[in-house]
Amino acid sequence: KKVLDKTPLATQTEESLYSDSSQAILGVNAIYDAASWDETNGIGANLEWMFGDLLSNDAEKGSTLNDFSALTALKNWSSDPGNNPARDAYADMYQTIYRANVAIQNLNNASWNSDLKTRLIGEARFLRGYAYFYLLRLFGGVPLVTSPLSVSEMNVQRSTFAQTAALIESDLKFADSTLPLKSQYASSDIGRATKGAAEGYLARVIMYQLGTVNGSGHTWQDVYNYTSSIISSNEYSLYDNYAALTQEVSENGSESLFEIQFSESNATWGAVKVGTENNVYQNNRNTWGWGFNNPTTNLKSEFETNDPRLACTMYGSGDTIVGIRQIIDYPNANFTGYLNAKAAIIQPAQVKESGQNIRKIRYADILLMQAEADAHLGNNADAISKINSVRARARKSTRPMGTLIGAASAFQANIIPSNTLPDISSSLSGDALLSAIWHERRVEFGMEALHFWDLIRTGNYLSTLSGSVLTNCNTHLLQDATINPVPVLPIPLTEVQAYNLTQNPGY
Amino acid sequence: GAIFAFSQSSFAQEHKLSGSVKDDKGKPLAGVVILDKDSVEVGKTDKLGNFTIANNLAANSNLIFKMSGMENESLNLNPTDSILKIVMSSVQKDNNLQEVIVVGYGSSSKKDLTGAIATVGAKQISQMATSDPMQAIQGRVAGVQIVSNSGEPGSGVQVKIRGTGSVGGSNPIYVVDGYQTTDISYLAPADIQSMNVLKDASAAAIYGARGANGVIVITTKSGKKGPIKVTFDSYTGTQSAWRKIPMTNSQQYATLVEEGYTNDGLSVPSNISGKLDSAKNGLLGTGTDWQDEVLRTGLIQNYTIGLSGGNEVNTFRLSGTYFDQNGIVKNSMMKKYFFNLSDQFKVNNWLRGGFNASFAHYDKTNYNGDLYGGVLTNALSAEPLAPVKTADGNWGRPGISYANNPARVANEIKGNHTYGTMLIGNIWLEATLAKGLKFKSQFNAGTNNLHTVTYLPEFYIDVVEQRSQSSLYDLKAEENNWLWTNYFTYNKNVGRHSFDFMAGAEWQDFTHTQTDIMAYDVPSDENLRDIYNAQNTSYTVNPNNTALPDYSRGLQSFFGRFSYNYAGRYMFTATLRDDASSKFLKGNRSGMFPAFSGAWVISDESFFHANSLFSYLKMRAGWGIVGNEQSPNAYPYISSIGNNNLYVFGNSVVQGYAPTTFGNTELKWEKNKQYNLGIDLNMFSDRLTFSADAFLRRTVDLILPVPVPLYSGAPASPSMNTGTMENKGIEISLGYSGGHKFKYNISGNATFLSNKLTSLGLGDVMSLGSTGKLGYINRAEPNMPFPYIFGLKTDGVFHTQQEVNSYVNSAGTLIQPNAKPGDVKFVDTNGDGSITNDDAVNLGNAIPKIQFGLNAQFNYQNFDLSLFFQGVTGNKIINAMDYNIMSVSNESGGWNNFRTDRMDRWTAENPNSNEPRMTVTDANGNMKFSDRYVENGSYLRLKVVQFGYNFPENTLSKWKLSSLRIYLAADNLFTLTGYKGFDPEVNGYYQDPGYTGIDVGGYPQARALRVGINLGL
Repeated sequence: KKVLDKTPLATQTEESLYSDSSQAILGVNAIYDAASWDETNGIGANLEWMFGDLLSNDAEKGSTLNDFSALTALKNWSSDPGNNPARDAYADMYQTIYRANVAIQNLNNASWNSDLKTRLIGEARFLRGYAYFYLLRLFGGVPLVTSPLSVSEMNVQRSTFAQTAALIESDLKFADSTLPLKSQYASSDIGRATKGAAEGYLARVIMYQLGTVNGSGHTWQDVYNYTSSIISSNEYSLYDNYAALTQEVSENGSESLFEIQFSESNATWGAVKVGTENNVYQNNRNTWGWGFNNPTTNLKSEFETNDPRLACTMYGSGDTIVGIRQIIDYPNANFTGYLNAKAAIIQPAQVKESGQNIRKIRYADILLMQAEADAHLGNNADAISKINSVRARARKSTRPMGTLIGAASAFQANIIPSNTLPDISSSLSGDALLSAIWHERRVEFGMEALHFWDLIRTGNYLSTLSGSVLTNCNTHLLQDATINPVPVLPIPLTEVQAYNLTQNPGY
Repeated sequence: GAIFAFSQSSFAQEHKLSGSVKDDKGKPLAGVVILDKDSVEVGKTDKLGNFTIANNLAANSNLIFKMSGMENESLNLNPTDSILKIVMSSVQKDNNLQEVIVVGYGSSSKKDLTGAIATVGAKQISQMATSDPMQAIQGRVAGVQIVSNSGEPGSGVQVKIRGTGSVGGSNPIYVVDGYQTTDISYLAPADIQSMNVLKDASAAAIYGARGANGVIVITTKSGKKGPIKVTFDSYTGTQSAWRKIPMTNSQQYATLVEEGYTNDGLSVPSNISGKLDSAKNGLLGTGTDWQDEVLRTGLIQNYTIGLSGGNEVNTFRLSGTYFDQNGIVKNSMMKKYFFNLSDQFKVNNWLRGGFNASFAHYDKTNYNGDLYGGVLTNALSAEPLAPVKTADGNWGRPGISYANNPARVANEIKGNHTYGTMLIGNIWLEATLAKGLKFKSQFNAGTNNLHTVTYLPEFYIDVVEQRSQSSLYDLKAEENNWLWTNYFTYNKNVGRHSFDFMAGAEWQDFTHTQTDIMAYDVPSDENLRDIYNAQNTSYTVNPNNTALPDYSRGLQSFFGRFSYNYAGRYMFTATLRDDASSKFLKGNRSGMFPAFSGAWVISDESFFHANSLFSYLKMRAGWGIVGNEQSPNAYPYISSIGNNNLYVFGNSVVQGYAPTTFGNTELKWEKNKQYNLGIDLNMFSDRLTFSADAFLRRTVDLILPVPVPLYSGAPASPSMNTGTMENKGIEISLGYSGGHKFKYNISGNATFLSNKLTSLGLGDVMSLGSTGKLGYINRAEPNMPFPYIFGLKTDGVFHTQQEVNSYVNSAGTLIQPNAKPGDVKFVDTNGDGSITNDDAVNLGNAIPKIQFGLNAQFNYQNFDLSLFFQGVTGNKIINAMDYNIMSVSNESGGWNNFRTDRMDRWTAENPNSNEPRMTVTDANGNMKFSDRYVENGSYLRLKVVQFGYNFPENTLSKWKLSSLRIYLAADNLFTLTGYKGFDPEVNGYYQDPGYTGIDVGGYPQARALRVGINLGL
């Protein structure tokens, strides 16, 4: 008997993990871990800029010509179904969803009850919604999995764009109704999903649908309502210094609704790592980076004269940033002559393991989303005042961190002419007002992996393309039931070949 | 072989014969039986080997001298003969029908076997320079495929008996003097007396749940009655790589790289153009030969000392072996010690017993064979322009290829060791309870301790090639197991009917525990390299996130066998075993494994006697079911949760727990149904032996880690009983021995095998073998071999623009719109008018159609020569390293060095070449996985050649030695192959069945030249 009935040695099971509240937290923590793999999972790389910046006219691939050719394929819309970043994004997001489903199911079944349990389910559903939104934007409608699948249940087919969006909304709404406000968390819990984060993502998801899915049943009023709720919660405000927004001092600060959290780490491989490769990918090849994601001159020209945000967004050869005079090896190892200043940080101990949090949604976005809702709802004055508040903050920005050699973490004052970034005209309305908002979004969020999605939902994407890239992109569009066509990436090959998922057009 | 008879005339009146019989070393032979022409015994030799035959013998009569273990001598008498001097030589034949074969819980003579069993003897096992007994018998046995994991010292081998029967575990189990184990690395080749390979179910089914992949029954050497004998065996020699891959020198390299840019109308980037120009102009000479920088000639040596002896009551054997090998990659090495003690004693006339204890300890380095970070992969990829070290003494940086400095990587081997200590022992008692009835009980216990230390130093060459923190990984693992076996045997003879019964029970238990820690900022001083000296206070426990690092499992078995034998002519055996394993949940725990087999010795039939050509003929047939207990892990039924899914809250790292395995509560035994038909045939008085078996192995309820859709998010593939696999084949062994003064023995074996997966579970195909940027290159699919190579077909290159233009589809558009002359022409296999993934097809597989071994042995006077060839044919190898070294562009990340074959690339001046042109952008996708990476894996290798000299008797007696032989030997002296990688003996990447046949520039087999000595006191 003893020989045959073995109790697993030192092994936790789902039942044992969720049987008490302190351990259940550990299960929910692991969902965040998987969500952070969109930044780096140690095997492939699928950072959000590979889609949000790179596919737009804000950025070129960078590095040397042939380095990481899968990115070239993404940029040119010539990926094959084996494309690694696309596949890894798909796999990592479904890993997040799986962990969330395990947590949700086991928490619902657990015999203990407390506010904590409600919150944990809320966090899990927030992350599930977050992951499905990530997938929706890259692939369109995807298989909807809402509980851990047994082997015999693994025959799910893709749902529609609208069905996927509906699931995202229901998860985020649940999170909205159960999660605490940011200020209600203990300091040791900073970084967990909040009510504000859920509402911010709801506004973003609805706005994305307004520009893409017909008949989503949403109006701009919904965007207005969610952003209003955030604004009136008084939990958030614009962070004083734009230049410091992406640096450590502002992490989880007053402007932050949701960030993927990182910390410098020794381990450079596997789930155990807690740092990100985001920075080594984008850092200067002449210092300690690989030089990807190069901001374009097209983006540069979008900035108004003397806008302090330009220097905080991109730097060129000869500029000093993080205390180092940067020499960029253009054109041999750079595509545009520029690098992403928002990813420029002081060199971490392990270059592949930097601790810079990746900002996912911040208060300026809430203001500009609401401004866009205002503009659609006819509240032009409200829209303009929000745009102006964002511009006012930008004017006060210092120079980017470390513009003096040797003073890596200091912020030098910026002296700019007094007419820089003037308030926009109070008479703007209609398309002109929308254009002003979109312009503001592009410069405010430059190199923050948002521009591509803005181009899609505003119907402006295809006009930024030309030549064979446009030809290629036109073969990959989801067009039925959409206002604006949505170009999509290939569903990973094995999902199509072995599990009969419908492939996206043109792959 | 017979030597000759010595005759001498005498003047005696009566025809009375006398004489003496000696062996070929001049020792008198006692007990030799002398028969006349009617097979009537006419005499026998005495203790001094002398005989007298009293009977009068007719003139021209025929005498036969017979003794077991010796060749029969026959002699035509001359009428004048009176004193005979007979010299008999020992048997050289492999196929000794009386040989005792250990079959599991008993033994049988070879003549009475009903199953497919092959035997390898001590002599063959100790012929090669290796510490691994299985490597030593590679190619020796039909139906047994042995492939070295690599040429790295101590890397082990993969053994497959009759093909790949399972995905989860295809290694056979070993039964060493009754102890069942999957690891025999504690055994020195010199301690092995014989290995019997139980190939079919009828032979292996007595091991039931563990028999699916065949069973190798090993008998270790034991002491014999008599005065104490001491033997000393040793060899020493050097090893070196049998081949280097011809790579371009710096001038050729620069020419190819520059051409890439020129062909695309691009200018060479300024950061490399200067270097390339000076290389092209010959200013850098030939450059660095990185293979020379990481390879070396290494010393190999082995010493074995053995002591044995005993008396009526007690016999013993004691041995020790020291093996020391310096690998052919710099800094790689293994040192290994073995000790073995065995003892057998008689308590009284009904009780006897014995014990056996083995101890082994080794220290081996772990070679880095990674596709990106490995020693040899980098040695091939690094450009010849980079120096090993720069003027300031730092490592040079291969900054054009972006390879790591190979010499630096090879240097890191020093800090990467595994230490293993194994202690295995058993004790047994056997009681004779009544006439024919015996009871045996044996208790075995083993412990295996493993300690791995991996130190990676801090260094800085440039941004990419640097390590900002030193790290130390420390793993300590311990496995303990015990096995208790009890069984009765009963033998009864009634007239010519013989009955054998055996019944028993067995319990086995394993426990594995380990601790592994990663620490940082550890001093580089070798004596301080310890986690206790880590300056960084953060440690990671279980950094590799191993699922279920600790486990315990057990087996309970009941088994029985019934054998019936009529007059040694008709035999029948039935076995039944019931196994229960802790790996399965209650309802599925037990497995019943029956087997039946029979044999008919046709040559013993009266109607056959007349035939003098055939001396022996036997037919065998068998059927049985065996289980594969290796396939699932220890707890396949639970979904376990693992730690270390770390995240950050409030700027502090927090622990995260997530599922790591995906349990299946319904898992049950994977079973193998096997059919065997065999024939054994001897001709010319057993000089020619022939044996053939045809087999069919059908694996059902295959336990597969079923790949699940990515959308399930399952952290690991769940194990499921799904799919069936089939292996069928024919095995042939043939041997001939003959000669008189010049004796020879030639034997060979061949296996013809085909494998296919007959069905598969969820999902119709599995993509396997993801290899770097080539992606998935192997595949599993019903009705195809497992696995097979899946990729695009090519048809050379486009030689002219016209060829590009004329490659159009039905609509008239170009099938390869981006192609230029010199680009690869892909075959549009599905005819859809474009080249896509859908054009991928079967490109062959890594399973050899034929595997063979050929052994030749020659003796002349005191000299002996043996040659052993081994080879395979009909298999394919994916030369994945070619992605790096046969590249047409720098798509892999940088400009890797090239195999010199690239010098024949297509150019306008060399338009007939089928080697693609150089291009930076590779718009045509020449680098994509295609049959360009697939090569014929056939090879013929002279594994061992040994030339020895036995010192004659008179010298030996002068030196007071009982035997002395010295020899020269060479291992892997030559290899005939068309394969262009380091070595055609490719097991596969990661030792994962999905990666079968994928070569990423693995550690090649070494060629060894040795001198050796075998000494007996």
